[in-house]
Amino acid sequence: MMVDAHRHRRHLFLGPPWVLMLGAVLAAAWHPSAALAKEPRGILTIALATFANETFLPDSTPGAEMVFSNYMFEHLVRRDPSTGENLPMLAESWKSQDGAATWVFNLRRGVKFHAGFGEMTCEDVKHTFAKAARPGTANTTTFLKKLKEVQCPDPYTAVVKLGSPHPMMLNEVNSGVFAQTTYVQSKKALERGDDAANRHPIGTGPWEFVSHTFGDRVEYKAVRNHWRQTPEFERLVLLKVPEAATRIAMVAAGRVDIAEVGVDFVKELKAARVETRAIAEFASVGITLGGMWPDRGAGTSKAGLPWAPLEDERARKVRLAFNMATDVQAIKSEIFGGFLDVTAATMFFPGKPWTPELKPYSFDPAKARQLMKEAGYPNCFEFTMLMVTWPGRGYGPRAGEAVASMLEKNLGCKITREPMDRAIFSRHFGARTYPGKALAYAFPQVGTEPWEIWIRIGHSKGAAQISGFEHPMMDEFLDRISQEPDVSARAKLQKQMAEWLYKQVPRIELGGTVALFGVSKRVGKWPLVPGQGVPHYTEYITRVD
Amino acid sequence: MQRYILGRVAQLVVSLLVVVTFVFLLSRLSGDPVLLMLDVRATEEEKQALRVHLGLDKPLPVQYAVYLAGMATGDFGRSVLSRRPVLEHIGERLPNTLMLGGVGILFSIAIGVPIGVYSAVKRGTALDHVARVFAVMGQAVPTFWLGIMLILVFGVWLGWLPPGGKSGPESFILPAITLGYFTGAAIMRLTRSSMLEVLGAEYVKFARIKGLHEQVVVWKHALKNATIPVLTFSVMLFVIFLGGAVVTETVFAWPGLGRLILEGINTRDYPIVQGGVMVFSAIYLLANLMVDILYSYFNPKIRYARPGG
Amino acid sequence: MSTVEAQRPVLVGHGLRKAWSLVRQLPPTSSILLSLVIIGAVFAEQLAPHHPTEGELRMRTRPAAWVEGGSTTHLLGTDDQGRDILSRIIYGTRISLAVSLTAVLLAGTIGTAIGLIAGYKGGFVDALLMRLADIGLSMPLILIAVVVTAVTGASFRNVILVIGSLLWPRFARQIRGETLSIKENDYIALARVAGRSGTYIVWRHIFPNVVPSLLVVSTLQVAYVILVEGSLSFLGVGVPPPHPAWGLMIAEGRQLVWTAPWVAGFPGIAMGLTLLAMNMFGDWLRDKLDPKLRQV
Repeated sequence: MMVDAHRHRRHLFLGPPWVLMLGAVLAAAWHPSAALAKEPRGILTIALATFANETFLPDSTPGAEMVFSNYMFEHLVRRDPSTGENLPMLAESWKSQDGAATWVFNLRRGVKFHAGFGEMTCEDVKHTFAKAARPGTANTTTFLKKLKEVQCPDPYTAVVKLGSPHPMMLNEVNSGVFAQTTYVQSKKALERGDDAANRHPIGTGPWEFVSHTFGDRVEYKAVRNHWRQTPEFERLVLLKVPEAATRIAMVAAGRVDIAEVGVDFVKELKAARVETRAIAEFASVGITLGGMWPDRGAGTSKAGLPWAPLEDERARKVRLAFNMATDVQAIKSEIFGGFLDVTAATMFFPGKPWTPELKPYSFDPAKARQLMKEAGYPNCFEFTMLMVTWPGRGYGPRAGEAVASMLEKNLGCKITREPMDRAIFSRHFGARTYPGKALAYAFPQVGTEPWEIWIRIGHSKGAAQISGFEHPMMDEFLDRISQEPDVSARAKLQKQMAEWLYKQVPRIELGGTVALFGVSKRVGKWPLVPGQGVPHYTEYITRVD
Repeated sequence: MQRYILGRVAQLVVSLLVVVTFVFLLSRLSGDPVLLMLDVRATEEEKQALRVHLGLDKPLPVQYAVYLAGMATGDFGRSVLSRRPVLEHIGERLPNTLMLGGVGILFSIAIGVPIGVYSAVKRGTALDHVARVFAVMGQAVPTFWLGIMLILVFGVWLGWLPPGGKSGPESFILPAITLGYFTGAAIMRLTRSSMLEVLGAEYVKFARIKGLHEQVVVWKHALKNATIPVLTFSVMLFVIFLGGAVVTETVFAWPGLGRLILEGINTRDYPIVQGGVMVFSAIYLLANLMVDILYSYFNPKIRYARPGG
Repeated sequence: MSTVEAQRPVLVGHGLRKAWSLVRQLPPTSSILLSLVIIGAVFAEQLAPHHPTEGELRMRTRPAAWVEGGSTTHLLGTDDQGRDILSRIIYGTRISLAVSLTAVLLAGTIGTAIGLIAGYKGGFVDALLMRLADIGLSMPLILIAVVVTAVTGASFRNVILVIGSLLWPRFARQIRGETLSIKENDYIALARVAGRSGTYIVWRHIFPNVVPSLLVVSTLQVAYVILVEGSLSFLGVGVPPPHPAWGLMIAEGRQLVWTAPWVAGFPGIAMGLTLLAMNMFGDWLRDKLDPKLRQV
């Protein structure tokens, strides 16, 4: 009797349920867009020049930490790599109210934090932003300064109330260059205390934190069945390798898959036969002439500065002479390997809707000498040039050295070079402690339109005073543009601003350059967002085996 | 002997105190640390609050006392950059430096001693001359340059070895050679001269007359007595390695204590610099002390009092 | 012809012969190398084919003349900014010598003074000064130099001051030892009996006799300082750019090791040869002078 039942059941096993399952498995294996994601395997290694401050907390990251942490976190919004437009990420949709003084985000449901820290809700957004905006924070994202509160009418709706209109809010909760410190972190995780939260950070991204050896390496592992994209690699390892030549050697030998390399190493990469990926419009290079701002007390401006103030005709001749004594084309070909978009006004790249038709200052040493004579400095004068090295982007000082050398040769200036570490210099930005000094620096694009950068670097209330000058006209332009919601009206205003800048000749203008990565043979397709210079979207990298 | 050691230990403490005071003053002199720790837009109240919190509002001598007390109890403060305890950072990095030093010494002994021995035994031959040229070059080639050239050949052109960083065992090879070349040459010379001295000693001649096999004479009797100065010298070499650690670790991107201090300097992370220099100096001074003790202990007079080994 | 006039050529000849015999005693290799270094430092303007800090950007990273792509205008090629490497190496000798000689002068003066005082006075003064010297000797010099110059800023003055003030113990110990042994001589006791002051004795009798030893130590320390300055410049806390300090050139060339290894290669060879020459010369000097000292 039992034997018969068994035989009967055995027949059942070959019945319909099994056929269905077998069919599903075969279909999944053969169908191009399989329902089941490919099982992640292998290790993706990235060699970076620096880990910046190496912290994961929302309130201790002035900006550059994206290079170190963007892999495990997500923002409310992200950018489309090909069109640059805003796409949903943790927020599915959004709208602005009260003239862009209030922003409402509808959050995605079912997004899980790592390591069992639960589902992402409005409370997490509220807690993260509050922490990032607390007094004494190191986070310089602009909307945080205006933040009044975040209301949570329900778990999946975040109402961000700002004190005043802020049309560019979306850029700052986006996967762009300086918005990374507005990732949404887990309230529960942050409430463990700063120490614990920093030692084991929790995010929603496709990579999950595994380990961190300070100053050396960070390891992440793939999150399987991630809501957005499961990575093809099982592990992601970041290595801190300060030397460019070493990074190049590592990627050439296949020891790392991606190496962050400055654009000044194009020749070296070619010689090593390493494939490259470039991100356009990444940084702007030039020599700031500091000190053209009103006196705020001891040490913030210097009377009798040959190139100040901005409106003075004599000073303008000096600044123009500096530009005309600089052979920008030579710098472009020799130092940037051709990767320099020469600009007539800082951040205004050729071909953009907001860039007027302007010819960059010409290279004419004879005319430059003439101008200096007219200004009363036939043999130029003495000054100091600060060379700020941005780790991994050494072309700032190299370009600075080239310019200094040209000014010495063509105008007879006497220039003292002062190398300075970016970590130190960034603390002096806002305090304006470099009057009378020139500053060779490549600073990153912080937003899509030029005014978004200028409002940080050139407004009298700006966060980082790198433009070297303050002027009521500049403030007026920026205030009007930042309140203007219409794109083409903004473009028109910015054109006027560019023309005004061009006439003022505020700095020694070079141009915009790219961010460059050397990649190994294993790296296949890799979508990259223009302007965003650190390795990102690594979860979308396809393996080539 | 006891008194000598006690005296030297007391001196070590004084030296350490000097270093610690020096770094303390230096960091205070280079500007208000609070300005460097906080965001530039911090208000005056916030700055003052941090000053009180860090004890910087107290007069300098009080700050100094607090600082020393902290050091004595193992509280080296927190890194400005990472906000993690300095001792934790040092704990992560120090073993790497010590490991590198150890491997370097092993390498230099492994190279220096055999060459030194053969050079002494085969004195005047071509091998001897080659060895002596090698030794002389060891003094002249700047180690950081040698490191770069080795990386160029083996890491870049040939791609056999990692061009930097600490990974598996093969990442120790180039740094060890770079460190070991200079000291290997010194060990070679020392071994050679010690061997020559000993080979001429009475008991060795006696052993030869007795008819013992040449190899036995050389290796068993002579080497045993030549190793004492070499061992003592090795500790001194460790001191030399340590002194040059900052440079070597920079060349090879080695995650050691020397580089930690340099990075701390570059980012004005003073707690790291203070703590790092203190630990580094303590080890350096201890190693120096060991050298002195070993040298005075293994006095030549004592050595020759025990013939035949 | 008077006897004096007749004797003049003989006297001159005798002087020349004496000079020649001295020169013949010098170690050949190291003396020639050192002479080249000194000549390069003194006559840099005349010898260097190009300006050391003004480069032609479009001529950057050209290889040496004997390699394809090089030319005779730049015998050893150009660096990252298009500056001639040979000229920079020649001017670099000036920097190396200037920094090391000044630092050694500083340290030597302080150290000798302290050593003489400690050795002559003896007792508590000696113990105190030698404790200080021991403390100084046991410090990790490069590390402290890095920390100090990083804070005070990279400049010639700071580098010389830092190295000089950390180096004196080496001189002090040596000179003190010499002083102790010289002090035992009879003529010293005689001078004291004759009522000569301590200062007089030290200056007139002791100091001249420590000079040979001082020379030996100085030569070797100059080599050491060149190495330290090179290391500091390499780390970016020594001589500031754009000066053609060898350590700085090696650091700058390090980034170009793929495409232009000569930028770091040649300065390193120059530095190595200089150090080699100085060490060899110092050793020779020690061998020459020490035996003489033993006779005293």
